[in-house]
Amino acid sequence: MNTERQEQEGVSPERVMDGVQEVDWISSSTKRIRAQHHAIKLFGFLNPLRETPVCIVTENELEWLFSQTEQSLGASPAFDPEKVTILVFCDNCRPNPAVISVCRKHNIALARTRLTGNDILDYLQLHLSRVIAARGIQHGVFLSVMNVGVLIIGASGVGKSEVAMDLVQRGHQLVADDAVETYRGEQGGLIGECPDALKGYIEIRGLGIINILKMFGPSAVLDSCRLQLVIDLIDATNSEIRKVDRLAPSLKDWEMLGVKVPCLTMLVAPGRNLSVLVEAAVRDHLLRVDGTDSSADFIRAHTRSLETGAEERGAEKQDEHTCIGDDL
Amino acid sequence: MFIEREIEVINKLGLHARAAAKLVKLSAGYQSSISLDKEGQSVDAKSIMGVLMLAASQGAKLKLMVEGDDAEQAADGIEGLFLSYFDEGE
Repeated sequence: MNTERQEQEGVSPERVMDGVQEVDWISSSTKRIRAQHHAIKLFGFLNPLRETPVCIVTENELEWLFSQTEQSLGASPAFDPEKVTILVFCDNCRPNPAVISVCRKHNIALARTRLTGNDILDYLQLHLSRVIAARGIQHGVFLSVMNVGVLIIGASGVGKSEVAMDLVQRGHQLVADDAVETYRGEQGGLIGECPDALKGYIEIRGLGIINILKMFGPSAVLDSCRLQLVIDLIDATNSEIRKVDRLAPSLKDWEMLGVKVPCLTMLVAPGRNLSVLVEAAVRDHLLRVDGTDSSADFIRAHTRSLETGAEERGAEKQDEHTCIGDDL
Repeated sequence: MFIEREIEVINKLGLHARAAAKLVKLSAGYQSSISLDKEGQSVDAKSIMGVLMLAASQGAKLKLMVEGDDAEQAADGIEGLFLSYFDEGE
């Protein structure tokens, strides 16, 4: 079941800045920053004409800010304090009493740091989208197979964890078993992570809960990975295997948080070594991304050979006619 | 058939490992797909790791969602397990 969880409650100012060392909070705020439409910028240097939820103040912005009085800041037609959630003073700049008073009045968090404005900008660029991204929990096993993030889904008991175990044994990395936390990362891709409580563990029926991290070492576990391929395991009777299209992979689109990922249906049946098939599917996916479609290539080559065969036969027939003509 | 119910965790220890194992074992016996939702985080009730991830303690309110032919029996069974304190007496 595909579930989506929007961060309805939003993110607190403290959480937005929690990766920055040496932050002094002068005032806090109960406002929250939410994932908004992409067109709305979430942060930037303080600009009285275009407020962002996170405003960075450096010496360049101080001149304008300090030229304002408490009344003009709160009532200026150009600057709307309601749109601002955090004001970050960088370069060790200090807010003046008018700014502090406006922030308290309009519920704006006020932070000070020794870092430069550009440092904060870099930090926000990397971390803000991650922190406020819409997140969802997906049922399935998530692995990095040859550096491709593969999510294995399917009904419970179909053998997802067993395939994962086999793939780890073959040198691939486990990200999360059973519950995968996904969010929309930079460049619009889906990133999968393991919920903290489950990190490094896998549950196998009959063996209980296994510590993969201890059993196989740190190289067998990965913190997060970009999701590129979904494999849907379906327990199939033999009659269903016969119904499968033999010429093309059973690919469809799988969607989560508005991002589409190719999904391959893989039938589970005795005699099918799933970990080998998953590896093959990943290799084929990499080829397809590179522009090579094995199935289509084969069919094209085959059609061409049929055509040339027909032409040659046509030519032979013509030859026969001309031979007969020569005899006469 | 689709059934949605609110369930409160009433036992003292909450949805701890043994209780989660009982819940998963019970859920796995039904054909329907069953998921539990806590504060917007939804997991498959047939997966022990998922249920453990919820970390639902006493007083937590969960949303039970069941879809399938035996949804009614499944919802009743699972609700019964919560109401019977997972047969642990408290």
